Amino acid sequence: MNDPELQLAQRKPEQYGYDARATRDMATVQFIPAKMPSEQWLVLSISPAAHSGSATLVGGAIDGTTGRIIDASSGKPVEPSALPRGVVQEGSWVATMRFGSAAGKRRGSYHWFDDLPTHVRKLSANDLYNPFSRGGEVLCRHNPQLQGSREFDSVSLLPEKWDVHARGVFEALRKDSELFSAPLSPSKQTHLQALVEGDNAILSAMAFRTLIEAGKIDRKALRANLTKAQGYRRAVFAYVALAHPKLLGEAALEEELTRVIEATRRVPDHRGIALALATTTLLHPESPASRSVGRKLLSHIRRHSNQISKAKKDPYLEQIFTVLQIL
Amino acid sequence: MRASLIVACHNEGTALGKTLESCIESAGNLDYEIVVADDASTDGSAENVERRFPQARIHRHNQRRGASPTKAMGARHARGEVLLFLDGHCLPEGNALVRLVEDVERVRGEVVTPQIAALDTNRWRNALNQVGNGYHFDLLTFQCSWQRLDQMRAVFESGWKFYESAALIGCAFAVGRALYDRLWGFDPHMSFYGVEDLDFALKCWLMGHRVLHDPSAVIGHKFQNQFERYAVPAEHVVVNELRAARKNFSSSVWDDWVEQRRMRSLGPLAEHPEGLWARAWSLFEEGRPSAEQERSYLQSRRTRDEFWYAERFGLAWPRLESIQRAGQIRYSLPSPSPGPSPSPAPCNLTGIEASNVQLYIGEPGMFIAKGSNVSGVQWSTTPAGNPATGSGANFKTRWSATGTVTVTATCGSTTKTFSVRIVAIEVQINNTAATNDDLVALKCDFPPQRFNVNCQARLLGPAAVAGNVVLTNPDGRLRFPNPANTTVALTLAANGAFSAFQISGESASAALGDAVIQLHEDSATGFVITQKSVTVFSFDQAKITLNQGGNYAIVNLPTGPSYTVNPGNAVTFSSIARIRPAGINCTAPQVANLNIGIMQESSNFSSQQVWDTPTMNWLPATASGTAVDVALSMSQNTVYAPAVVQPVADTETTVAPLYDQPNKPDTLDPNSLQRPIGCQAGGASANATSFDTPSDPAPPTFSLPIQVAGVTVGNAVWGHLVKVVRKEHFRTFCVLFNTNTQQFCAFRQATWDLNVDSSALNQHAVVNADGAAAATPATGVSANHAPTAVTTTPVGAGTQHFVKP
Repeated sequence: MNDPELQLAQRKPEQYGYDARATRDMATVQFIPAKMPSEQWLVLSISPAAHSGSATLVGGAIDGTTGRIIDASSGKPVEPSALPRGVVQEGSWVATMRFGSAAGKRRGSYHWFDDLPTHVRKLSANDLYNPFSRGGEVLCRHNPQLQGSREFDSVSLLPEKWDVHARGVFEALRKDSELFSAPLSPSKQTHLQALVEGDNAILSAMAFRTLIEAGKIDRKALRANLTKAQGYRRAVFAYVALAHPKLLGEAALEEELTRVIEATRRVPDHRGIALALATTTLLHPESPASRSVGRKLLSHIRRHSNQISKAKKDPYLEQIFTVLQIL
Repeated sequence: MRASLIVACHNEGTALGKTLESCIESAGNLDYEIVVADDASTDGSAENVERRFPQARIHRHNQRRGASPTKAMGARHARGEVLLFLDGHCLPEGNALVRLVEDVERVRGEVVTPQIAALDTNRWRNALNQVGNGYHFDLLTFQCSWQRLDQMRAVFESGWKFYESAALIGCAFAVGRALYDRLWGFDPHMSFYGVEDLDFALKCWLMGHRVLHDPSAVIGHKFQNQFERYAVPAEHVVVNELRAARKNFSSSVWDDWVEQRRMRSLGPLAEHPEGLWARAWSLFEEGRPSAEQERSYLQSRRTRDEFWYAERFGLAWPRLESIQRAGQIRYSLPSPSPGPSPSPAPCNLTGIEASNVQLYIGEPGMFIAKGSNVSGVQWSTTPAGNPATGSGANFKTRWSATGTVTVTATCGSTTKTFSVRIVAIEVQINNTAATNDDLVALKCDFPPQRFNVNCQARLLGPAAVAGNVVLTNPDGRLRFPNPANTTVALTLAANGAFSAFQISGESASAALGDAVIQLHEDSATGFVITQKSVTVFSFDQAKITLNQGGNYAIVNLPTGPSYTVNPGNAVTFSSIARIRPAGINCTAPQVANLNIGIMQESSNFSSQQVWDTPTMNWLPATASGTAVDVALSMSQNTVYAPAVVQPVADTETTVAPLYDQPNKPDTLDPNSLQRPIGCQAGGASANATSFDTPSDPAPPTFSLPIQVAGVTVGNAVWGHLVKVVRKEHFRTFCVLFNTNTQQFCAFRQATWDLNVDSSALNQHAVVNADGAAAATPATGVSANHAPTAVTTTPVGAGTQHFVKP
């Protein structure tokens, strides 16, 4: 296990959304190539157009001379109310990795309109960060026969530099398509625990999730795995644990996370758990982990990081606290 | 025709004309006819009214027949739906006639009597301080008396108060045509005067109907201290009593009554040396075939017997107990002729006839010794009934446990036996034998619905035949299960298989178990076999409380700018309700899935977003030097039809139909469903809570392609969300929600409004206090929930000029 720490370099505010989305996606990633043999799993590098993610009038345009709104296809003036609203998604992609078959397009473009909802109860993963609006590396299932957004399915945003692990996951699943399926025999548990601690971060995340959902991660194992993991991997482990508070119990979960926080000696190592807590709070405001445990632990991280840094604030954590407006 | 006024008369003199005048005035615009039934008057009164009142139809007897045949004649010629009988010397007060007709219609054709005032025919004025209400008579002596209102049982029909009257006085009353016919009307074979009204009332009660009294309808009647205008032979009164008793009394009671009546009628009779009783009996026998014919009709159809009547109206006779005490009352056989009782002859017991081969626990069974001279039969029971033994021609007893019992009749050296099956009925509410689930929820108004509970009943014990029962609910708290189903008939199989029925709650229980289901044998007024207590639970102290949250502002989230409340919420909700009556165990199946929650709907929605700071992203193919002018700001306005009401779970179908639902994906508040308070067990003490912050998911930018001469040259992007306006009206409900069936019932509602504008300060939701629910919360998604107008326009005339480098 050799995880780089979460970095600050060249981050824009929305890239905290990127980190949150990537954490969530890796904690829930569905990479099951055996079940969809006719479709291809790819790693795509997405480059959105500058206006991708903007509100717009579907099928509308502006006459650059008169300033009037016109029908884009006919060029004739049109009542704006006759045109539906939407959010434009437009850009290009390059397949940087292809699994199963070498055939298929290596690059392409996309263009569709998403609906513009009027009521939003809470944030979705796409609200946090939409790679088709803002770019990024994604693992997805690709079906070029379909149109619009349906061309891309099971889209998982990859943390930076995690694309290199995708091949290993594919190979492992090709050898054993039931690798992450119950029941878990003792030897399978041992194998999964080895994957948790291995170098392939995606396999590690999937193995950790399988074990915790099967109730095979006790308090001691949780603490040990969280302590060993760093960077995105620690964030993903913590997010998985927070998403299953009933498996260990809320009190036990809070206690173990507190012990991990208190055992942390370097401020940057707090970033992973803080990111997981922030992501959980944004995406699952109803969960106990958000309502009580999350807020308490984020306060605890703030206090503890102040202690060990002698009041020198960590910019990454501060960005989480302020940009995500959790506290 | 709505009503027929039937005026019976005999030598009424001027009173008849005055009666008709008064009736015409009282009837007003009533749709009715006047039928004058004249019993061979000789004083010219009938001719007089025939002349004066052409609208009246006169029907006459050629010779004097008496009151009962005269009234029967009038009824035969009447064509109205309601028959209103009056004597020819009556004065209605006010609109008494109209009221009586309306009363009869209100009680679906049953008999209604007015308050009777003493009429002074000289002054033609009623003495309103001298009135009679209910009428009462003794079944043994046929003696009549008035009853005060406080001696009568009050009943309510369609919200109107009536009093049950044991009998009626024939001078004034009303009845529906159908019931009159069903009761075979007035007995045309009763002669001269009296008893016909008592007979009619008794038939009415025994046939399962009622005589109801309305003291608000007042009719004056001239009472006579003595018969001024005609003579009433005493033997005819006895004959009329004999006819009434024969028609209405069962055999054993008739035997007893005849003997006692005979003993009171042994005096002499002028012009008839055989005496009063012998003369009366002779006349009775002359007309007996018609009495027997009517008796057969009545006894085969009646739903009550004279024991019921005596008990209902507090009469000392006849009583079951008195019959069961051996030797205290001797029953004479029907006398073949008047005179001293014949000497006892040797007993000849040939068998036992029983009222039923199968009885319910507690149900009296009648056993009749067959043969001749059987008045000395000795009765015994195995196992012992109550009473265990008896004597006489008849024997009535009952048992308190199921099983096969034997009744033995012994007379001299002859013994006969009869086997009877004693059965019981088991009733299960919610199809379980447990009693903690003998519960049903009160019906709901919003939405109108009933929460039916499956129930079942079966025969217990060695049943030989199926049992026909009718379920009633005298307290009116239940239905079976639809609103109109106040009773339900079941046939319970002899093999003990369950028969299903359903109940629903019509009105709330005040205490545990106060809704009682009675199971009657054969009809709704039959013997009460058993009863079952049920509780109709309901909810009170329901509340939906809205609390205003923080101010709106455009804040920068990772997703970009959003016009929202942060931190906090626009509104917080709190909902609670208490289950009643006290003592409900909320772990019972009918309650276990019931929770107090929140629903919400919205309407009158509109919003506006304004973006500025345009930039131009040219297409590579666009020629250098291409120039366009782009508006400095773009506004997008969205308006929904004001009438469109949408359920609001923020489009989250997972929690629908509630606003929020714990243990479902995308739930906001895990405490948004709570058990009701007030439970004896399994309840809650906390409010159900949730919150709402309607926010516009305005993308951070707005863009449109730019065309020049029909060719797209690039995309303009307005990159700064500068203004958001949002208007919306909300209605939030406190609801009862069944997590198993997804049914809900709205108790309370409270409204709140958003009218917020990011260009102004202190913008927040405005909340209102709650009130009773007035409508059913919207559910599903309205088919017409698309906005009626979306208008995207430049804001102002300002433009920015772009030239491709």
